[in-house]
Amino acid sequence: MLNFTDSKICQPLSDNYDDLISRCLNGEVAAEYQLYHRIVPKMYGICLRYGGNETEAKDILQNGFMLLFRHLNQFRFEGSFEGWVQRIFVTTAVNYYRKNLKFRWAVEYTDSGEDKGLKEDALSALSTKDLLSIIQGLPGGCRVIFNMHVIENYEHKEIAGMLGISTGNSKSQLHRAKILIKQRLQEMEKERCLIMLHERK
Amino acid sequence: MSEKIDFKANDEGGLDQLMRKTMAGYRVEPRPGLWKGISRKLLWKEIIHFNFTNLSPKFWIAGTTALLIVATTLYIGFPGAATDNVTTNPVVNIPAGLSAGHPAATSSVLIPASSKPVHNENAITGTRPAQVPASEKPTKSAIEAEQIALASVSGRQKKSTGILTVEAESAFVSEVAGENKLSSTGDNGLTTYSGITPVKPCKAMLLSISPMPDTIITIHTPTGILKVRKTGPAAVQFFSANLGITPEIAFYGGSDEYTRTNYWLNGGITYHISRFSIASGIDLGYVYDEGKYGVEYKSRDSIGYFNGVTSYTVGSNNEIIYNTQVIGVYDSLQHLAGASVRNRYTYLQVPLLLGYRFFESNRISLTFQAGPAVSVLLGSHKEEPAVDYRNARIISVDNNTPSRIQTNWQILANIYFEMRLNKKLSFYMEPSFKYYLKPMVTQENVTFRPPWTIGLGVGIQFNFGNKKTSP
Repeated sequence: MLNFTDSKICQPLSDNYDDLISRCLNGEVAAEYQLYHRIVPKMYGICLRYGGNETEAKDILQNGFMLLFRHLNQFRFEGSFEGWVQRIFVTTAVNYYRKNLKFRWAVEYTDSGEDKGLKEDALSALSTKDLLSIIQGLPGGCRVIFNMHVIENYEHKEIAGMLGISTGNSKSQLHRAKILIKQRLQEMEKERCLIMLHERK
Repeated sequence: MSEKIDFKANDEGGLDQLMRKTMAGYRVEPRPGLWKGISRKLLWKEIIHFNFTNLSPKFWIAGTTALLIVATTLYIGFPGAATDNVTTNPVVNIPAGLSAGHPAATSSVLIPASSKPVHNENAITGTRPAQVPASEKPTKSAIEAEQIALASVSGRQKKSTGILTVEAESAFVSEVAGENKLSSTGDNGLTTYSGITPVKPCKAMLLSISPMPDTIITIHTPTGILKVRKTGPAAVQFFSANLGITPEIAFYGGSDEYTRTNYWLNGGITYHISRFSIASGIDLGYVYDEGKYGVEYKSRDSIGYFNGVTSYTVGSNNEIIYNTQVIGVYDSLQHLAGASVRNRYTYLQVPLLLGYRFFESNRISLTFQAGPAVSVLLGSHKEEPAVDYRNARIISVDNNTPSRIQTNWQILANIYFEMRLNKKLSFYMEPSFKYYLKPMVTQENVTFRPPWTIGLGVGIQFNFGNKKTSP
């Protein structure tokens, strides 16, 4: 009598998204799970960037998958499927924040002019986890715009259209985000120096 | 995740580039339980956002047929539906001598002794009530009609009171007594008379109750035929709950045709109004199916033999005698074998059935029920294949079991046979037929047909609440 683990007996993952999508459209639950399993690490990464914490990220992730499976039949099998899914998740994240942070968009940010330079090696000591925590530490509006503009390469016009704000507002929010990031980096640099001093002592 | 990044802060666009390069491809594996929540939500969304436009033509054909059946049944069967003009017909008075206190009044149909048989144009057309003047004496034939009507109907009445409406399909002809000839029919046990003059229906107020609503009792009189329809306590309304079990045989079609026995635990609630009912509930189903696995293994197998010389001897005539031995030749051979297991599935089914009670007597009733049902796969228990090949090395085990579809819609129809044990409790039995709108399983490159099932449900039914009647 031999024991088989699930990984041995389950069907191998399909390499082709088209096949998986077709099976999902036929209502095959196993295919839905396979599709989820393949794309979830990247999408969860996006959700963590847009979400302020893990709970919000999970909410966005769930909403995103709901939206994805509901509109899967709209995929035309042209271009990158992952790119298409990514747009769905970004839209979901944006909608999530539009719902929850609507009142904040009206506040125009005024630049304080505070933009201190960073040391040459300020960024070199950072890990991905540190960067994520910096992004997550940004206020909701700034975080969404920073993600959209800097990481997803959306233009300010597009961002303004998607969020229902003015282009100027989008720019100022981005500017504010960058300043906050630099401030946070400086703080982290200080903390690092203090730790190093403490260790030397 | 924790790798260090080599970037300079004051490079041109250093921060942006750093963020883009690092975070654009950022991947994190979420906790395994997350999919459960998503799949559960997906399931509910599918149920809530059930879209009729996605359904196959079969569903539309079945739905339209069911709708037509219900509409026809409603038109034909609903009390008073086909006799709306009855209220405009003449009212026959209850005779003074036969009031509610009269021994016959509580259990008999009362045909007015005082009413002169309707023989005028007004009565026929029903434009005004045919109140017969008191001065007019009833004729002999009219009295006979009353007596016969009493005799005919009394045998079918129950001990309760209510108001019945009589529709007479013939008028009472006053001067035909002499012409009436007695004849009998063996079919219904009632006595019939000839000499009948058919006219339009008239209406009479009666004191009587039939065990069944909407019962039409035909009364044969010397002057015509009376049809008595109970219109008083017509719309009986009450709830009932039932609990039972249904074993069913499922016929799976497609490239591989086979049958399986499923078992359902049924719990339901039914709202009855008159002869109609609407039923729903929750059924838990135990369904099993065969899990198929392809096992690839290598084993050391015999591929032949040869006679090997073990020794030889030289005989007396210098001949050489070889001593041989049969030696088997073995090689490692690759095999492909099949293994099957019994997979068990649990389904939740929610039916919505419309029913029409087409037969009812004191003890038993028969109801036809039909409607849609949705079944949802709640859980599955998949066995592992027992692969036990001696001297074998397993290379791979492929699961070739078709995947079960999470949600499926069916059309359900049954004949609900109810036997009343007492006022509150009944025993029921329901032969049923179920047709799935899409296959229950799916697999790549394999075509499956929607299955259908026949079952026989048995259980008990509780009737609770008072049977409310509409006024």
